[in-house]
Amino acid sequence: MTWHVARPTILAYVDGDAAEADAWSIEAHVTDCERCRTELAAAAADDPALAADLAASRTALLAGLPPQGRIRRGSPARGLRILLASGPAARGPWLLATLMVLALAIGLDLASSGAGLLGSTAPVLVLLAPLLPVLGVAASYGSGLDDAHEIIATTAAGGLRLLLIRTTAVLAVTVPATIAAGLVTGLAWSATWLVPGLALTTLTLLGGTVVGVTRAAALVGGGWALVVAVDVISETTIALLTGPATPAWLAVFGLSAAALVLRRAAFNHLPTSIRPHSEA
Amino acid sequence: MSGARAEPSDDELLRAIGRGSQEAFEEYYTRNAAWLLLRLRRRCGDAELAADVVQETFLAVWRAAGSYRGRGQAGGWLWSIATRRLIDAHRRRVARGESVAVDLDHDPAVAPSAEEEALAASLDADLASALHRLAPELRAVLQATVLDGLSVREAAVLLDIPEGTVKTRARRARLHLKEALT
Amino acid sequence: MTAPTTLGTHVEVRDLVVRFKNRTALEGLDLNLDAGVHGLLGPNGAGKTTLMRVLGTIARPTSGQVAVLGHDLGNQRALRDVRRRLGYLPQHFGYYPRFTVREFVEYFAWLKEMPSASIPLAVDRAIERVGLADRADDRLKRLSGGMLRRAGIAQAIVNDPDLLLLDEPTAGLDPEQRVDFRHLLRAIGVDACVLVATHLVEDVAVACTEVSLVNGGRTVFRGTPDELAAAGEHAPDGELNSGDSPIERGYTAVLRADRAR
Ligand SMILES: [Zn+2]
Repeated sequence: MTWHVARPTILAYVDGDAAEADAWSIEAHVTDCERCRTELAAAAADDPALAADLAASRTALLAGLPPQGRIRRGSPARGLRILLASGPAARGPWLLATLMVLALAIGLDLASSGAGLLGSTAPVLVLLAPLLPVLGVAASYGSGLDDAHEIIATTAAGGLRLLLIRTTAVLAVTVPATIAAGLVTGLAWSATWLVPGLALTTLTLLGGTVVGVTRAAALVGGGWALVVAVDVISETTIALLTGPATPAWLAVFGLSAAALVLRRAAFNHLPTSIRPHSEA
Repeated sequence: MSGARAEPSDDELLRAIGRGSQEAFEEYYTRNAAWLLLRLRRRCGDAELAADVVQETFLAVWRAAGSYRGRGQAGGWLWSIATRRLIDAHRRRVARGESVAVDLDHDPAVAPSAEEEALAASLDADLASALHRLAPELRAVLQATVLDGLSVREAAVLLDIPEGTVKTRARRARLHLKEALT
Repeated sequence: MTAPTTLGTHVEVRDLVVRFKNRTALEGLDLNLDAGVHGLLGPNGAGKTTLMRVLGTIARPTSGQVAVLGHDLGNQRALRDVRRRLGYLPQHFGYYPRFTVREFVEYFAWLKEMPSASIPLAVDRAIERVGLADRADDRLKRLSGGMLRRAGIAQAIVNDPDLLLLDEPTAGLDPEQRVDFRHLLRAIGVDACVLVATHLVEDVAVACTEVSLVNGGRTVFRGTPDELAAAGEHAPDGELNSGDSPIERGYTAVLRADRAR
């Protein structure tokens, strides 16, 4: 098991007259054997011409050493981190907006002691929280918000894969934050806002396969705002915003997620609305 | 035999270089420059080019040692850096229109000499003689793709032949070896 | 599903038509490319960018046949394989100002699904090849236009692409950087197919083994830079041809002949 290259073979190799087969086995072995690398270095040091070449190269190298690079190891965790770093969850504006909306909801809920905003009987958190991930998804994908979008679109992971990574990050921020807000306002955690939030997210992604993610987010967000407005004006709680609607929201979530998988190829190309913006 | 195991391993040296130790870098160079230079010389038949590639390789080691995460794979890691640089150097030369002198026949004797046979006996005798009987151009392809771990595309650049030729020669070389060994 | 093309042909385009809602960008274009540096010349609006996007797999042909790296792009798995072997730099590319050069290039290395263990070294080498090694850990917002362009080229070559698509890549480079860039292009073209779209004829022609001239959505000339230059010498109204260099005169002559058709 502990085979090492014989010394005469090493010497022959250093002198440049090892047999071809020997050279092969030396090279294959030395790649994995530190001891024989050291042996070879010692043999080379005894060869004046070679030693001189190596010394000259060493001097030149040490004279011009550049600053070291800030290089990270290529672990999958690093990959995830760098892919997320460009997404909205890691960027200031969206995070700030999320926190502000939640603070607003908490403030209003506390002020009205959970009785609802204006005429609405649903807590403000239920009205606003489902919109947060939709905004996050809108900021995740598309030519308007991601500057490097065109290059990203040509990459293997640049379609639905990247969008899902970013959406997951968005949910990883909004869901705990909303639950925390629910605890603060004394509403505790509730499927009444969580499930609609998930359903609106997948609806946005699905809509994105047809009209583009940004436009889909605008449509879904607008639809939700309409429901909320009707709820506030009509002074009666709309069924969509109550606990018993949860199974329906779950169904929407499941169906839109399944449809999204079927339509995933739509993220493979630039939306046709994007023309060469300057053939100039 | 220099069996003193108190010395740091190459892995440990690389980690120290990653933390910025120039001392570790010098030690790493002392241990590894020789085999790298000799092996590169055998690949490109041009001492000056080999020396350049060694320089570039160790510069990359200095910059990128922090990314090394292997265990006992320091040799393979260094070689993979060097081969990329070697291929890049070849690309530059081809692009400048210089002919790339790959001396396929640097093994002078077609028939194995007595000493060679004696040496080969200490290794896998069958494989050694089979290798020896292989035509130089087949051996070169096998060396590039199997021993050096190059892709077909990189081997094509190094040997200055089309990719299709690399593939057919590799297939033929394997066939020859298989026949010789059975 | 069309059969894979023969080995060695990187790009095969036959009768490619791309129409948008209100205009036609490409009108029956043919193009075959192998390894080497290919120039894609043509006036503004000729369809160069649209062609780059089709070859970059992000714009869909209205009709015609397109095989990239031997694959038909309609197949999901083939598309992913092609994209891993692709390098692409659009004329206008956005970037994340807070990323360093290294992070920017690394970002695309991950997106191209390179093996994770190989990424740090590949990123370092790509940055070195474009001459940005000394600025590798600077944030992008601190770089000049020419340096940004080179960072863009670094992300395009980080995976040693078999097909490299560069749209107006010399914009923002100073004369010395252009010379370095041409050397790099030629070295890459030894074993990869490089397609450089530009309207700066003189700039790129020197680096190209072959040029294609596109006008009105069609290929109107295909040949070596020397052949393009020769087309200018025999132009009937030689004196009226604008352009300072032989190749620019050839370019103008070919375009004029095409328009007169
Ligand atoms: Zn050993």
